[in-house]
Amino acid sequence: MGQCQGRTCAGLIEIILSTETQTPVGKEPFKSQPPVRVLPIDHLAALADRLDEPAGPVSVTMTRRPLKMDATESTTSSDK
Amino acid sequence: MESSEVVVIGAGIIGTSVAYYLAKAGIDVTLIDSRGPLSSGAASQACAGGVRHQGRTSCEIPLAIHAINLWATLEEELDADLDYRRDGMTVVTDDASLVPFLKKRVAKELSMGLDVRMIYNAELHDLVPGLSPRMFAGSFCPLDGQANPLQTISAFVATAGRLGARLKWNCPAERLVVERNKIVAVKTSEGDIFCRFAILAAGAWSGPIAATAGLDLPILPLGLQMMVTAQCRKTLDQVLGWASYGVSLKQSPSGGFVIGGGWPGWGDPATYETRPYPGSMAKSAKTAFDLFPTLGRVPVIRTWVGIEAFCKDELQILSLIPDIDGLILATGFSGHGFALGPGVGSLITRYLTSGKWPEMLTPYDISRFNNNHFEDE
Repeated sequence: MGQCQGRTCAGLIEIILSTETQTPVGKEPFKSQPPVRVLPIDHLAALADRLDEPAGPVSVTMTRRPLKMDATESTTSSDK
Repeated sequence: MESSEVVVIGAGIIGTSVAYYLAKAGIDVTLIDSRGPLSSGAASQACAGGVRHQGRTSCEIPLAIHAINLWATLEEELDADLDYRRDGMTVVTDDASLVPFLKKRVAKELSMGLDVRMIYNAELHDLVPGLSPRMFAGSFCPLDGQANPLQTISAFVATAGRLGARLKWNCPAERLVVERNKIVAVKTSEGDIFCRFAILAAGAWSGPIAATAGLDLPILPLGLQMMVTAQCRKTLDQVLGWASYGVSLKQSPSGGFVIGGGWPGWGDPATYETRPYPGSMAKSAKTAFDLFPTLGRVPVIRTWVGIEAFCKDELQILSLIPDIDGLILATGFSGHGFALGPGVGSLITRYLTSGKWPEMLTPYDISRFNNNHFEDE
C-alpha cells in the first residue's frame, strides 16, 4: 500500500479486478480499510508520554542487560 | 496409513528451514502446520528480518556465524529473491556510560571471530546519514544485514516441496504419540502420521503439544509488535539499533521503514487473535524518531503483532529428550530466531544424517532449566 493508504488505489484495484474477472464493479465484495487520516511518525511519537503502558519492550536483554549484564554480554537481542 | 521418516510441526522460519534441509538431504519429511506458513499472529509473520551476528549472547555466536554463512548463498540455493542484503548493522548510543559495555562486547565478539568494531562521531554519521546528531558512538558489523521473512519462508516451503517434502496445512498436531519411550507418530486432525522423528518447531504453540508427551516446556508466549511506514526515498541502508532502548530500524528495498525492537502487543495463542497496544505504537514510534529524525513526517501505514515463544533466559531450546527417543525440540527463540533459521535447519539435518548431536547446539539443551544456571547472567 502506498501513500494514499488505500483511499485512491482501492477503487483502481476494484476496477482492474472487475475488468480481469469480467465482473461488474460492486458485484463481488471488495474490502479496503483506509485510515481516517494519515498518521506521521512524529504525531504518533508525541503520544508516547501520555500512554503509561507498556513500560518497555518485552525483551529483558533489551531493557535490563545494558546496565546490569555481564559486560561481555549482549546489549541488544531482539530482531522483532 | 500415513507415514514419514520425520514429521516437522510448525511452518515458521525454523520448521520450513528444517524441512528444506531434510528434503535436500533426501530424508522423507512431512511438514505440518495448524494453519499454514506465514499465518497471521505467528512469530515469523511478525519478524523484522534482521540477520545479525552482533549483540548475541556469547554461546550463540558460533551458531549465528554458521547460520549467516549459509545466508550468503541462500538466494542462489533456493533460486529465489529473499531481499537479503549485507549492508551492516550499527548499534548506537548517546549515553557515555554505555560505551564501556559496547567496547567490551565488541572485544569479546572480535575474539570469537566476528568482524565488528567501534565507530565514533564523524565516522558514525558518515556511515549512517540521517542518524540523530546526539548519537556519538556505536558498534558496527559490516556483515550484518537483513532479509525478507515472508519471501524466505515462501522459498523454503517451495523448495522443500520441489525436493519431495510433503506439506500439510490446516493440519494441527493434536498429540505426540509415544510408546515405550519412543516417538511413534504425530496425531493430527487428519489422522496419525507414523514417524521415527518428530521435530517440534511450533513456536508459541509448542507448549500444549509438548504437554501431550508429558513435557512442561519453560516457554512463555508473548506478543511482539511491528510497525511499517509508507514507502519513501531510500535513506537507510543499514540496520540500526540503540543500545539504550528497544528499537530495530530498517528500510526495506521498496522504501518502507520497518520498526521493531521488542515492543509488546496483545496476543492469544489459543485463538490466534492479536491486537497492537497504542502505547507500544507510540513508544516505538518515539524511539525510532529520536534515533532517526528524518522519519518524522513519514506516515505509519500498518502495525501488527506476532506471538513469540520466550524462554526465561531468552535463548532457544534446541534439544533432544532423553526419555523420548526421536523427539527434537526447536522452539523458544525469544525474538531472535530468524537469522538462525538456516543454521538450525542444517544442524538438525546433520544430526539426523550422522546420529551425532552437533556441538554447536549443546548450549540450548532443555536440561539447562533444571539447574537454573542462567539465573545470574
